[in-house]
Amino acid sequence: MKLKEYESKPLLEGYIPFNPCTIVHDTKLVYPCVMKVQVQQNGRGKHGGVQVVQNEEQAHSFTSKWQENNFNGETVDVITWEPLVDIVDEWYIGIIFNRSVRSPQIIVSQDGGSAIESADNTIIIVNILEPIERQVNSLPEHLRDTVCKLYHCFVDHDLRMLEVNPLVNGVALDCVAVTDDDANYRRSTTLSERTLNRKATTREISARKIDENDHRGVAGKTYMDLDGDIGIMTSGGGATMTLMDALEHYGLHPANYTEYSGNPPQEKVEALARIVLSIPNLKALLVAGVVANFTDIHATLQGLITVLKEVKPSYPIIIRRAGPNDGLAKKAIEKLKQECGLNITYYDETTSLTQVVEHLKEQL
Amino acid sequence: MILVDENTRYCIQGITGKQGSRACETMLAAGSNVVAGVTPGKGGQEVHGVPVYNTMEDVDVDCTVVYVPPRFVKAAMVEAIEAGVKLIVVVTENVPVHDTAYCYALAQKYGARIIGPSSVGVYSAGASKCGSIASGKSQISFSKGPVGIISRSGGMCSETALGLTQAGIGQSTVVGIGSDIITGSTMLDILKLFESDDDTTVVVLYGEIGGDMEENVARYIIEHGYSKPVVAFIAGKFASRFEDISLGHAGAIIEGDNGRWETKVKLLKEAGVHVVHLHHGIVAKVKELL
Repeated sequence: MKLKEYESKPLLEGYIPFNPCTIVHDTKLVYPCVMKVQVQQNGRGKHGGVQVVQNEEQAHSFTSKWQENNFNGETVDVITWEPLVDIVDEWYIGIIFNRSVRSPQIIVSQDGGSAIESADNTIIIVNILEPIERQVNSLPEHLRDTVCKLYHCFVDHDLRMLEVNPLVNGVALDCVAVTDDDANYRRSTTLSERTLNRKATTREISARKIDENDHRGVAGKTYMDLDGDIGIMTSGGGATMTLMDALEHYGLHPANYTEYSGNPPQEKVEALARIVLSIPNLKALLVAGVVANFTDIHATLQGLITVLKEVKPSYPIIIRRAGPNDGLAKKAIEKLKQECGLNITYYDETTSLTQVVEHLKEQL
Repeated sequence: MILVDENTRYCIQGITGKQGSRACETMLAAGSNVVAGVTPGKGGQEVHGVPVYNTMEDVDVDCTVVYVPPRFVKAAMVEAIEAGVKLIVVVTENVPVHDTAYCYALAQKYGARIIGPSSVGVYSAGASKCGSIASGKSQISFSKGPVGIISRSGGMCSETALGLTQAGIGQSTVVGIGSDIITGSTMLDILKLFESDDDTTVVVLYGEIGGDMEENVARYIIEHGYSKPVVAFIAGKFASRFEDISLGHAGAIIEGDNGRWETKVKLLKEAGVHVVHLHHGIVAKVKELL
């Protein structure tokens, strides 16, 4: 998860000095100081999200401006201030995973700020099996210790990315970190839920709770509300992405992103179906996945059937599922169709995953 | 076929767990030579008739398949690498990226190959099944033939093979490489193996947004050429507007200008790769090229 500056800086504690951000409502400001909006997007400086303020009046005007306006569509929940520091000898230091060489990579540049890619960088591909202290000789001497400490911070905190920009006289004035969610079990603190550049919606929060106390299969963990009108209940990461592309290809737009897989119990599928079917103004529902290895198609679809019986939607419902007990599933869907008069079409593996989207399009 | 064949002797790490035991059962049913399992502290037991040992030191195999929970994967991989196993297939998902990076570096040092994490496995139809691929009902998707498949998605290994199988076109080897931030084997690593494989005449790639595997394939082909036709489908076009959000797979993430669908497709086309825009378009394209 990408952390905001005020969440990232505390990670540097014990590694390198940093200019701490204080949340504006917490304390009285000391002028002059730098005020910043705390958002996930880059380019805060360019869009007026960072400002030197001299007095209370300026501070007030900064605060009220960002309380009334969002930052490129992102709500500003937190504004911070920090002591003004003279910017001399400015450096950019970034640590990421280089996915080609499959190692951490350190980038150091003096031309920090906005155009990192074009700058004259020093790049170190880290040999993870050797101490970092032996691998920083290509850097200016006064930076070596800082870079080593930042590298240790990157490793110790299980970060996917750590960026300090700028570093001034050895002090971090701004910092961004991306955590590795798969290592959250090694963290002592929990991080707040976020989706895109906004707070999670009610449906998103409910969907993520489905897996919380039940580790049998996965349902709803990746749920995200989108702005289209086709409800999605798909299975598997790749299949879901492939189906979303197919929808867009045929000019249709998903209302949500989600998936369920790994043979989750009926109740979990039911809970997820309840959330998806609660999306207002749906034009269709797409339930699809590849041929399942072990997911019981009949049992999992029972969860959906329960909700369809209650909601009785009038829009077309397209199902493409195959796997264990798919014959029973097909029969149960046929029965539901007759009992409730629903517009459901059931496809099995003889129609390809993405072709069913074409059939969905024809029904609209 | 590549990586695994009828002679491959397997170990399953985590064989006494639910997933490991099921993998053992389905691999045996497919005729794979599972000769050992490892679970610390469970040495002396048997799972589906396969003897269980305490450490990798006690076994001698060509390939080990890792099914231990995410937090034990690093130790399992290190043990396998140090014991001299040359092919390590990690099926476990949600492995911390620092752990994978460490093990990849160690594997390089020892001359071992890692596939995964988050790999569904490797399947050479009619010869050997490694991991969870082609288990249960999804077996119907696969058949023996001339197409090599490399896929970042496990489920889409079987869907990609299914379309081909239904059209009467079989597969040489299907490789699920996983889609983590760092994978032990990249698309290019596997593509190179298919080039010298006599059983393979066409290679199909299932790629995704995020990372630079597809770009590296394209750059390699532009520079060195490739003697077999390559067909690619790249998923995630719709996600171009979501930066810094992983969709389904940890590695399917757009960071800044990196990993974008448009860049991958453009470069692959420049390299002469046949890019299809709907997944089911793969079948017609492969037919044309065979």
